[in-house]
Amino acid sequence: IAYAEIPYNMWPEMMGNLLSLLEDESNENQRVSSLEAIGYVCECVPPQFLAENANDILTGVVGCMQSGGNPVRKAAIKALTNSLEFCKANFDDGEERNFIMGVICEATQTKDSDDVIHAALACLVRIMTLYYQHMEEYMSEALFPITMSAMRSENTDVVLQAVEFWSNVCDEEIDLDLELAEATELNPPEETSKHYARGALEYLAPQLLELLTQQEEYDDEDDWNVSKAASVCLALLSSCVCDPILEYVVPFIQNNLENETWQFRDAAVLAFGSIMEGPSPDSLFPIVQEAILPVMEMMKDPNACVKDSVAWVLGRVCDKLPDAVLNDTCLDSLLITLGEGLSMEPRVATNVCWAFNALAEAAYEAAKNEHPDAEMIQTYALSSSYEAIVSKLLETTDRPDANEANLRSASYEALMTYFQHYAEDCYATTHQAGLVILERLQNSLGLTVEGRDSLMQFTELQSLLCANLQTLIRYLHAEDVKVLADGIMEILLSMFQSQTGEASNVQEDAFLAVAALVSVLEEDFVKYMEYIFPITVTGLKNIEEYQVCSVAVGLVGDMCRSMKQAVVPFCDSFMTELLSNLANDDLDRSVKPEILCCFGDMAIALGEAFVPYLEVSLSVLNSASQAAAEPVQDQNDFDLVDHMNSLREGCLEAFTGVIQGLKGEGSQPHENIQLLTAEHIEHIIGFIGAIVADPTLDNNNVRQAIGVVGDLCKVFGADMAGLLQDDWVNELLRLGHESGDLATEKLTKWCQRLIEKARHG
Amino acid sequence: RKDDYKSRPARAMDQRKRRKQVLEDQKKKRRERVALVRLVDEDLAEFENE
Repeated sequence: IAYAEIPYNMWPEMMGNLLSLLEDESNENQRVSSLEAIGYVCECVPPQFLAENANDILTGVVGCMQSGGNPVRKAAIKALTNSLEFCKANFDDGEERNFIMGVICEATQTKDSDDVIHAALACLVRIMTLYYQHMEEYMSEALFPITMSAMRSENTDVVLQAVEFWSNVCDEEIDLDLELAEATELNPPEETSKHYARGALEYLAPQLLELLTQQEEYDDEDDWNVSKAASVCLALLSSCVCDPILEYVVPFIQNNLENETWQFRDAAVLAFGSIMEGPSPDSLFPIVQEAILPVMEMMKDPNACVKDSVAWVLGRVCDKLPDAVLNDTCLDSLLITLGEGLSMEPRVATNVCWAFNALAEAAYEAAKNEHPDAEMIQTYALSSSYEAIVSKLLETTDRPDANEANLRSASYEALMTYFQHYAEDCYATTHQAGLVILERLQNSLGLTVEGRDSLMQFTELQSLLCANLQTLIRYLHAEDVKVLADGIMEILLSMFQSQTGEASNVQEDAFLAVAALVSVLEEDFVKYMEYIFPITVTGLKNIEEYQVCSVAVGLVGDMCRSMKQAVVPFCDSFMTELLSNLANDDLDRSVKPEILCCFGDMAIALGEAFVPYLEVSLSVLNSASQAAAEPVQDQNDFDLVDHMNSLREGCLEAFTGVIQGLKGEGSQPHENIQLLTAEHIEHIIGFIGAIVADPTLDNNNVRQAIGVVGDLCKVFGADMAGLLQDDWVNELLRLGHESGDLATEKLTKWCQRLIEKARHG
Repeated sequence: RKDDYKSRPARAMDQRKRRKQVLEDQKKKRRERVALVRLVDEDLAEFENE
């Protein structure tokens, strides 16, 4: 109720009433309930609406922390944790901060309640994230000793919070170091790292390594426990302090890889994987070289958890330090180890699939680096084993236990990675695998499935098969895809009409496969239009499952770009659906920029045939660009920034398409360009002038805006001069010149010359 | 933090990622098509000649 009413000032007395209930110290239940209510309210009501109550809330809550029994103290600390966000003013004030910190730190020393200690540590975790810059005076005297001692507690929840505290410190310092690296002399960082993690390293690293060995006897993948928390914290610590971590972790690995107890062997392997990020490749290389073969041997460990970790580490090494495995000493053993791993327990095999992914990407990348100018990679490190890998992965997808531990999905995903990262001397295998995938898809159509679980598994399988097909269409040679096209379309069309064809994931992947085929066949795709057209329209109408609608919009764009004029007969219906979707408030906002891009695709493909849609398109574009021109109020709301930039991108793409489409491809602009009136042009320029002033504008938008200005100047020449005010034009050109992207810089030069020509003839 | 535990070096190519990849591909093709019509190189060469 508070969440609904407080933002509208409809219940101003609520907080005062709750706080007054805290005063009766004799009624413990009432105090606990009130504190819980305050906690919930503080958690859900946006902080700006509670800021004016901050002092009263703090006084009431902190009072309870000092005066109540343990249940009251625990509820009070939780309420305080939820209030921290709007207590900035109180934390900025040294005296108040000291008082609050004193009370919380004291609560961590409670003798008779782990619950209170746990809540107090959770509160410190939150404070560290929110008020990192204020923590200097408390770190060495209080926070460090409190958390280090909590890590030795017998209570698991207490240990987890203490580890989380240091994970947050590392997170914060990694971010601050990044900001420092990106900062310039003119634009220095507002806040800098205090390097607490580096300072604590000597004590923290050994402590985390000890916690790492505390695995449960029977590890459940879904459980969160001390050893997993320590593993994550160690990886963050490694990213944060870099090379100095090695001094502590390397001896631990060396001493424990062959330990009799599996927990120690597993901890050693996990520690090895955790340091793959942070230290420099030069420092890591000799360490990895020494340890990699013994680690591979551990794939034969009797314990599944150890094997699981080994598979994970091998993937990490392929990803982070590929040179250490892509060599004669290592690669053959690695391939044998991973190949055997695919036959092991599903959880191990799933991790092996990830490792195979990383290996394919690494090998392909290495070959590309060797031949940067080659259009095709002729051969690479995996060429001689490619066939065996693909065949083993295909076999793995069919394992009877592939439903466990996500193995079916992981092995199909790995196959896709191989279809994308093959060398030409592996082409025959890839092509052959494509036929297998098609056959499997065909066979799946004849099956009927009953029961919810089986149906879900079945739709997942079809979706994965469609995704593999899509990948193959994109990466096989076009002439081979053309030969298979009839068969592919027949299967996809049957699928849309089958029992599982209504499942959104199947539809999404099937539409993506059709879109891939459209791109390959271009105008030749028209023969399938009478069949796929009604299905596409149904997809466009599917606003409840907006991802399906979104891929259908993408498909229409692909049809326009690839089939050009051949798409004209279908555009009336497409346009009707697209316009109706744009006007529909129930459609997810992410789809709308894609629809605008689709207008651009359609305009450029149709050329003169777009004229009937021009007025209505420009009218919706005007409304959309008015919304997109608004400055982003909260620049830290990254979702909103992304959305606004997508919307701007949609508008700019659409304007580009309209101008290009009307102007035509001839050297002289087609007379249709005159349909773009002075009013339209002023609006477009007004839109660009407005977005240039917004600091959240991304490089993509800059490039597109420059393109549109250049196009307009090229077509309208001197008529544009009056609209090109120095302030925004100079800013736009500056952004283009400084974008760091070669294509954008070239376009900026082009645009600048056209502007000069428009201004001075 | 659970997602970070044994975080996969190459995460699953889930549908979202596939869609993103396709969108990128569409964007690239759109850009190529526009560049083809725009003929930036020709304009720049013309300016340079002048």
